[in-house]
Amino acid sequence: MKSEAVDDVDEAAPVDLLQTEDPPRIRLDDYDEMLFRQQHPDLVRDGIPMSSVFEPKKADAGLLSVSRGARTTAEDAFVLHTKVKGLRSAAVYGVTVGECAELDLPGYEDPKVNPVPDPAHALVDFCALPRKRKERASKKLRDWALERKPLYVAPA
Amino acid sequence: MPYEPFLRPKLNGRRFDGGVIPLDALTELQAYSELVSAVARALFFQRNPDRKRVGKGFKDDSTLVLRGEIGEGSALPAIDRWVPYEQVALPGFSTADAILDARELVGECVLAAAAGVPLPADFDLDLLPGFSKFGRRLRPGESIELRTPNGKCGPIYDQSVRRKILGRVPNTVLEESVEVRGSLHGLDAKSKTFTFTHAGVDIVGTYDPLWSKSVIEAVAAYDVDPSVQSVIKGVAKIEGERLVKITQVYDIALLEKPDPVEMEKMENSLSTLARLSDGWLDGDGVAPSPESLDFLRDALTHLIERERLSCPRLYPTEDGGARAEWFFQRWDISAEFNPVDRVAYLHALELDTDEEEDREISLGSEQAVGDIAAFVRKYQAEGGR
Repeated sequence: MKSEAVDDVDEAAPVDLLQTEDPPRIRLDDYDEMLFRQQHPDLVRDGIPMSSVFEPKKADAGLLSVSRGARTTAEDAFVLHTKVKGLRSAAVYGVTVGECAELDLPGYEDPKVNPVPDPAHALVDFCALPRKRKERASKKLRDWALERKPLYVAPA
Repeated sequence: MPYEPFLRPKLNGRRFDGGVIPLDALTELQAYSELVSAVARALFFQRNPDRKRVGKGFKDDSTLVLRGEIGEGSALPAIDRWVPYEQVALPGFSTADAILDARELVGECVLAAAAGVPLPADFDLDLLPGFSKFGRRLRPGESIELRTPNGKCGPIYDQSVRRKILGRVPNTVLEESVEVRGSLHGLDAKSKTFTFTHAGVDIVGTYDPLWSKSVIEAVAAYDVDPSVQSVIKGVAKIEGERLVKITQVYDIALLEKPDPVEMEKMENSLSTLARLSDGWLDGDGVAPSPESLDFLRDALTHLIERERLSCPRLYPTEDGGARAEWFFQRWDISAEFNPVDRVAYLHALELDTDEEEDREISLGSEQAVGDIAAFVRKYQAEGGR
């Protein structure tokens, strides 16, 4: 790594923080399961979402919100996000539990009851990754998601 | 002639692509040799406090030579130490030991400066100005990796490390290689000086008669159209982060008008950012400030106009900054501008091999945009191969 590189602890083994909760969250273990991610309309240029779309916002404390393909569809996830929760989305992209695991990103069930019932809600845990690995992970996830193309696009 | 392997520095940067070393970059190796020699001399006296002179063998022991052995890709010169006579092992610390230890000590200084920790205790701080000449002509994005003969990697010396080392010298005026854009509008042929407006400030520069014609042409072009810009490559004095004088010129060129399609794309992207209001990201998200947008316009204009880069995809970030992204084949490059901390975080990833690099650059620096351009260009070239 170059001397000016930002993360000297880049290759440190990630710590699975959510497994330290009591009771521990249930980890997603079906590597083929699709996880849906909403694409904010201000974060797309020339049809390409910003890679940070696949990275948690600051307020999310290192946990990326996704919807489980085993519990919902891309279209239903979009409708819940926009119509019920009142948030904005231009499209729905998908990555698998296995692709996240390949990047040391564990996924966990996180069904919600309040304020809006969302039984398909899940989290991908970025907490343990230093900045450089977060960048790598979000770019790889975007690449895989783009290869699949959007799984649902907002009606014009 | 007996020679002993001493250093296998790796010269990185566009000028060294294809394993070549431009002749004007040889001054860096000369400056390194002088630095090692000065450090060795200091070490010798430190460890032989009873000695007043280094002895007549010192000059021979510290003679470093360049041998023709050029690697592929970056330039990999072979620097050997001349061993002029059969050395008899004498008790005590010899001048030959001092040269080898000086090599290690210089490398340790570079590592310490890069990591932001104190320099090794062995290093005589009076020798810090020795780093002034070493690296003066290194350009943004270039570096010298101080590999020892058996080393696969070594401490990396570049402009930012050099600044950190020389920043420890009180009242120092840094001189370093720069590439600056502005209006060249005044000329004094007698004193061989010109006046150049850069970032709204008039700067005086001196030039060699070799560049007289270029300076005259630039001033004449300005007389006809004051919006004409020139770019000057050379060595400049820097105080703090402010460029105060251009002391040497290696190139002067009139800027061509930028590609109108790319410039229009840039303006459209900036307008999109300017339309955002606070809370744009589902209640989170700060709107970019006019100052941030002005900085972005200047930076992107430089990248498109001077560096011939395509306009990046420009996205807002939730803290009021922006993120520029490019794809060059399978290289995914990003530059995230943080207006709060005034830094840019650069990251490059090869999506198939996971080869990557990251860097953080202070946006207060005179060279910030040049450093960003050098980083992106490097991967544009990689992607084009």
